[in-house]
Amino acid sequence: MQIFSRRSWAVSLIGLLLLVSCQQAYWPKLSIKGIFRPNKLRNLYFPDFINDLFPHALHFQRHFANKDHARAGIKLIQLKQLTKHHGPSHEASLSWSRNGNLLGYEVIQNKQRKILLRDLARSYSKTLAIVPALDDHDNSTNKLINRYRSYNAFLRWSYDSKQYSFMSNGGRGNFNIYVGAIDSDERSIAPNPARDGFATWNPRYHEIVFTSARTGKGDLYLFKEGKRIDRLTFSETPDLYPEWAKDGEGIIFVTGDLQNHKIMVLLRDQRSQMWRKPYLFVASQYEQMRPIVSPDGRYVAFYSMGAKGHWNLHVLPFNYHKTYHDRHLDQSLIATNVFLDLNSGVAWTPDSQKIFYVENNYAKANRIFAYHLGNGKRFLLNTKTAMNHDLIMSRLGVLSFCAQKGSWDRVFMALTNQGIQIQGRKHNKNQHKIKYIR
Amino acid sequence: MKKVIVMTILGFSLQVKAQTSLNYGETSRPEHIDPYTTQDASVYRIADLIFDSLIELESDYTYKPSLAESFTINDDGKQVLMELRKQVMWHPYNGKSNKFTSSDVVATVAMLLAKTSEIPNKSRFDIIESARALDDTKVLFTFRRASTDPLKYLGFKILPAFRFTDNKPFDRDHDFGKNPTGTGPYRIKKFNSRGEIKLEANPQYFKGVAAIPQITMKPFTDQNVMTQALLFESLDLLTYISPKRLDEVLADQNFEVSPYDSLSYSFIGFNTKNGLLSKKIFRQALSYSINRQEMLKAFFANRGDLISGPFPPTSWAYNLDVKPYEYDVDRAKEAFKSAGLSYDQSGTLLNWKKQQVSLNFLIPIAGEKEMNKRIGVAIQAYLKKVGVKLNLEFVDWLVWKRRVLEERDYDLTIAMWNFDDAANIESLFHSSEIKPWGNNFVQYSNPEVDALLAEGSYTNDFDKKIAIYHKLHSILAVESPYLYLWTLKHHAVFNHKLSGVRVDPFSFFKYVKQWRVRKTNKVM
Repeated sequence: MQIFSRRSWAVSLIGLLLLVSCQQAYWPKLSIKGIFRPNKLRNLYFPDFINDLFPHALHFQRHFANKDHARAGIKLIQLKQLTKHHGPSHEASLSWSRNGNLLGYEVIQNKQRKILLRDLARSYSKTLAIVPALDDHDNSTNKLINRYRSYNAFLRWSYDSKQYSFMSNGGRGNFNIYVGAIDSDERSIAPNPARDGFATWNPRYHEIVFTSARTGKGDLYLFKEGKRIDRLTFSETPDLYPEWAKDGEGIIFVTGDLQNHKIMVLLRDQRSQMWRKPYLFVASQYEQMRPIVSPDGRYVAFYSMGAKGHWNLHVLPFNYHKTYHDRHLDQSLIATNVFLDLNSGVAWTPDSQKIFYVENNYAKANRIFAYHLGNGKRFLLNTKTAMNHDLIMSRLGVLSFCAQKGSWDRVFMALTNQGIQIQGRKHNKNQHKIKYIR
Repeated sequence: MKKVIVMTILGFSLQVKAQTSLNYGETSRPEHIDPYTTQDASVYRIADLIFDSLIELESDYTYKPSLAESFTINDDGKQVLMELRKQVMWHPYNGKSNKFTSSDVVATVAMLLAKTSEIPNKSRFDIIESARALDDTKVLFTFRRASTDPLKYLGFKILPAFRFTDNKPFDRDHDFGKNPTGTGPYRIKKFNSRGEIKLEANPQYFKGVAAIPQITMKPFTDQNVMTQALLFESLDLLTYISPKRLDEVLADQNFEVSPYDSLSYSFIGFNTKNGLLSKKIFRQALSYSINRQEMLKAFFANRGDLISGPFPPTSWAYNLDVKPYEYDVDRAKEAFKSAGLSYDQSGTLLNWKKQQVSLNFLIPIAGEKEMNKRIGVAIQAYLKKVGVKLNLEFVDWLVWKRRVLEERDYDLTIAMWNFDDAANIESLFHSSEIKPWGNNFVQYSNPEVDALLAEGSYTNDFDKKIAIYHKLHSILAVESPYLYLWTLKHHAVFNHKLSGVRVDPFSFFKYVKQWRVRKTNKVM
């Protein structure tokens, strides 16, 4: 008995092809788990650990197998809280390693402010908290030591993600900069009785710039392994929030006091390797704050106080030796009335095309918005979280931030389509024209 | 040998900047300084440096003469005779130094009572009927009614009569605020265009010259940036630090913290005329539903005390036998059921129409907007756990005033009472204050409370007064027209180079004369 005629074979084949194409087009509805899963799509955009952390990443990869579709717009693929088990304390101040695998954040445990490191790719974690060595607990110093609780903050990563730095009072009340690595202990790099903070790694070399009160009112200093510590600035006001230029030859920072803080740029002379006198990035009657250099190094996003007394968000090209003026501020507006986030500033996407920021609309609970510099479109990131802050994006497109849940701030992670593996690094010329708001 | 000499000279030349002045930070920028026409706390603080009052309240709640040399209470507390100091000089004005006399006191009182003066909360002076100069150094105050403690009405700052001869209304536009003249330990040296106010020690100060020769007030836009300025030693003192930043400062060996009472308390006001909120048991259920201790810890680092009634715990009127509502979800649910409500299978609280109980929480957004929003978000989460839907509505301060004080268009709202006389709660809960713009905006009405408030206000028997106010506390805790939240501790922070720092909650710089700045040499 002939079960299938030649004609019925043909009909069956067509039917099978139709089914497979349906699977591709409407995968979530039709998928039969384990039978038709196209494994090659599993790692189309995201590494395994992202797929494991965010189950919706698989759906996204199936839906948007075409990269042009995947990169279009700003897509929130999945939102999740970093950890489910919490004590009664806030989580704050996030920092991604440059490879996007390691996330650090601060938390208060046992009355100490600690930094927790999570290696999302290896399910590895580490706690950073400098406490006095045991031999310090003699009777003469016990009183002094007990007075101070270990306070550790401001984690930053080296360019190769192998090392990190942070500030700590060492459990003794003396804030210094510490450097460590995942597989080794931490050590103080420039100990001094005065306060040190805001340590930031050069994106190209093993150098760290930091603010210190050791000689005046908060100047910038440079630490380089095996070399002496160089003082870089000599201003009368504190020099805060230093950020490196992408080529590692410039530093942008904030200086000032009262209601008059300015953004300055410090450049290294290529021949002599000496640091020149800093110059104003924006010469303005208005106050500026917290510059963040774009990942491609071409732009600086910063806050500027508007005439109405609100903080506005601006983006200007980062051209060495160029000082901008008030007229440039008028032309470089990205968003008005934004939340001043001094911990992390705004969050750039890895392709340097979009900026995430928090609004300051009094009627809303600090929602997250994104602005596309290329087309001028603004997106509300619908996280449904409240009191958002400390935004920072990994190179894989995970926007992490803190939001209030109940009474406490918790770390949230939003997987987006903004990772470098989807958006790419380079763009055509037109995409580098910024569309400002008027 | 030459080399050694040169090196030595260089070495000495590097030792500069021996600072003995005091720089302190504030987050507002006063445009005028007088102790009356504003409610800006930074102005009050700087006014403490420039002006004096006739008497001062001590930490043991007794009064000590200041510009007055002595005082006598007559006529069962209806009159007070003040004898003034004789050798007090006003700060020089137009190159001339004037003597302080009774005419200055009389002129100040006249300004405080004048209808044309624009002074917030001016009604607090209404009890003063008159101030009459008997001679250059004697002033007789007469009050509208006798009081057990008339001195508490006389702690106001004295202004110079010679600066107010023009009959212009006393308001923020008055010239005086731009260039104030006082008798205090410091006098204005300079207002500069960046908002800095420089003060120098008054060499003729009648209590002796202050040890710190110069004080500069520096205004900042942002509290966090100002804290960094302190941490990196651009400032020596912050009059207030946010609880969020306090741990970081406490962890640094270079700084000290000085706590002081905030003289305020916060509360959630229930609109007692609105539907379910008119039921006492429903208000009590809400009180059990909200974890105030957790909020105090989360938002204010536990720097304060939960309260159980409408007084601060430091007040004689506070009844320590009344305990605050505990956070108890089960008890809250039972109370909701006792109020005639029910739960469905998903834990949603239903009213008699079988609809979810839904309330509106009107939250004013002003200076402390971040904190009010945070409290709103937290309370929404707590009430969700007991099945109540809370709709948050963040509104501008002016809108809040209209909707709460005038229209009563809200269910729940959050507010804070600042007090100088913590026991004076008559306007908050007396039914006569249920009127547009009245302070009893929760529309609470209880004849027993009205009677006790009246009795407590008029009695001159202090023991009886205490008993009445303790009873009021007890009744108002059970009745719950408010969910009483907390009274906070504020913290001043200063660099270790300052010594002798003591802060008074009523007058921040009251003890400034004893403060010292240690000379510090920094290698520049």
